[in-house]
Amino acid sequence: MRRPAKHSRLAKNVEALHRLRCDGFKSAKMFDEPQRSFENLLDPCWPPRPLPESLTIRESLPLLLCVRFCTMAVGVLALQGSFNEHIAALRKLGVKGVEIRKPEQLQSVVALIIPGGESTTMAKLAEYHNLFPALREFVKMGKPVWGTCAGLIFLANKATGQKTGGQELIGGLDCMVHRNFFGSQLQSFEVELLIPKIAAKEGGPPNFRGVFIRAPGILEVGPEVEVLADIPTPSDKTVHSGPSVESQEENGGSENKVIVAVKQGNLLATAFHPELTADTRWHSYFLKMISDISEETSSSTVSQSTEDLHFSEPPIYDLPIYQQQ
Amino acid sequence: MAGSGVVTVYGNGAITETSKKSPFSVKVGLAQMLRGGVIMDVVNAEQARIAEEAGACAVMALERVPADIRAQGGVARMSDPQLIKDIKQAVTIPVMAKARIGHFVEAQILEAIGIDYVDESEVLTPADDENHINKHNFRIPFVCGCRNLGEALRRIREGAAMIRTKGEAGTGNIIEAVRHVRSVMGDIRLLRNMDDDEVFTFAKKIQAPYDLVMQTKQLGRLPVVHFAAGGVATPADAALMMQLGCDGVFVGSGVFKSGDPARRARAIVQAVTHYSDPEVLVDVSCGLGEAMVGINLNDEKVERYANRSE
Repeated sequence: MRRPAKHSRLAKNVEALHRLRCDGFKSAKMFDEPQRSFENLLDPCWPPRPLPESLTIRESLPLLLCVRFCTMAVGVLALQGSFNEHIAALRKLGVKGVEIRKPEQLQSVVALIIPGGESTTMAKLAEYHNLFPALREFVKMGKPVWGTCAGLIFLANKATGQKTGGQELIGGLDCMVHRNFFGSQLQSFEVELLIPKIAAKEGGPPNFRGVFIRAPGILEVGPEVEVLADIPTPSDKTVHSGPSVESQEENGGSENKVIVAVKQGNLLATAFHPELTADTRWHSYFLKMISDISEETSSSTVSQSTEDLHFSEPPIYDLPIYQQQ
Repeated sequence: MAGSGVVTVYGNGAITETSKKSPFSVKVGLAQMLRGGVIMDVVNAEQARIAEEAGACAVMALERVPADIRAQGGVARMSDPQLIKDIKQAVTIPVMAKARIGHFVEAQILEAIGIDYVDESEVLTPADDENHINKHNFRIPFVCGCRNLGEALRRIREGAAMIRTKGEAGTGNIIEAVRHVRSVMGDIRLLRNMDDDEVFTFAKKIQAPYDLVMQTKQLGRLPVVHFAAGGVATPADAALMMQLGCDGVFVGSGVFKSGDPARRARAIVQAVTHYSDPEVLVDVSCGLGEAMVGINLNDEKVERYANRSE
């Protein structure tokens, strides 16, 4: 539900965007007109200040879109793991991340990130609080969900290398995941990944620093799954595999490459941890998946004004991001 | 560096300088994945499975839990590698093991076994009363204990990728853990409000490297993941540690020295996730059976493990 204008000083910007969508696209020329035709649009920094009048619509659009991002809340499953890091990355992009611990909290968010962590721990905690039905419902409704590492395992339809007795999964992503594919902490590594599809959409260099921590690997994918990144399989992998590894994936693999990032519809999954790097392109890629959907469903996602973001919240202290030298 | 005449400027890269094979970011990375979780001491594969089943995010493989080490006395050493291997086989979550302070060969052995984290722990009898292990030389990450900010930053400078407050292990008494967490957090709050000019003297006072003190001031927290340990026996204890600002909790004797370990383990795991929700804490704290017998720390005769290293 959209709030009444008086509750949000930035409501005007949202209004302007809406008008742009309704009648603005009739002539391409209007993008080069000064934005003052919309009267007192605000820069989405805090405190809001008027945008310089000389800016054209085209130039002010990114700032206005930024407001759209400010106004939507993205849920981060906060049972265990690197949820703080995800919320920090979202904050860098001006988006509010909401910690999700109970099923009813899922109703207030437009999308969900399932962070890295121990997938067995997260599955247990989700089970204790009966989160699985709500999560499956969330995926079924077609809302964007992104899983990193443990989150990837959660989203997969099938997983191997699990603990004795297995674990519950959300499912939805048509692929087979191998838990701890790369082995234990000693085999954890960083590598420069090639991400042509992300770079095409988000700009920036064609590679990305992938941090793999006891990471899973995707062994096979269904026909509807789009592969976004893969890496060569480490040759000594077989030595460190867990106790319940079947031998088939060593010879059946596709030219010794293992898939580490996929997208299927509104589901995004990565075996590595973009939240542990300073590069926010994966996060903004995910946010665009949300705005692509909300374009269709009008402005119903506008649920929060930026004002509650900036006042009376205690300061947040994040861990630093370590770069390889 | 030898012979090339090139000298790295000290402190330039803060704490990131380490061997290329396993960069500090990867070492800290696993600790970050453990955030919001509970790490439990286990002495055999069966207990490890109970811990995994309850939702522990990692297990610490030991021969004796701290409460038994306290009761039985004698020299406590690294566990039998076979025992650690068995526990590693039994579970899929990360496995940690303890090495004696300063005993770098024990650490080498643990690295060779292929576990996930080494705890250089004061619970074991120290092997070196002056020096800790140079943790930069290892590919495996280390967690170390601390009682105050200075000690934490000294350990980080030695290469620790994770810090736990020491508390008093094996007592089931939370008072020392609270003291140590409050000391670290209080010093950081003090530091944050300090003028930059005063940081030099503050670093001298707490005997910590200046660059790390400055980094802590800028971050407003320790630059690595910070768990609580030593004396956690109930879900309420665990939630207390979380509300004081820790990233997670180690539970030693508290689980497997209690009446119903599986149930208590599960309750503590839930308490850490829902630490700020008293209603959930009520639910999980009900009917847990007997907690471990605690030791009153007013008694001067009780040995303080926390004072074994600086």
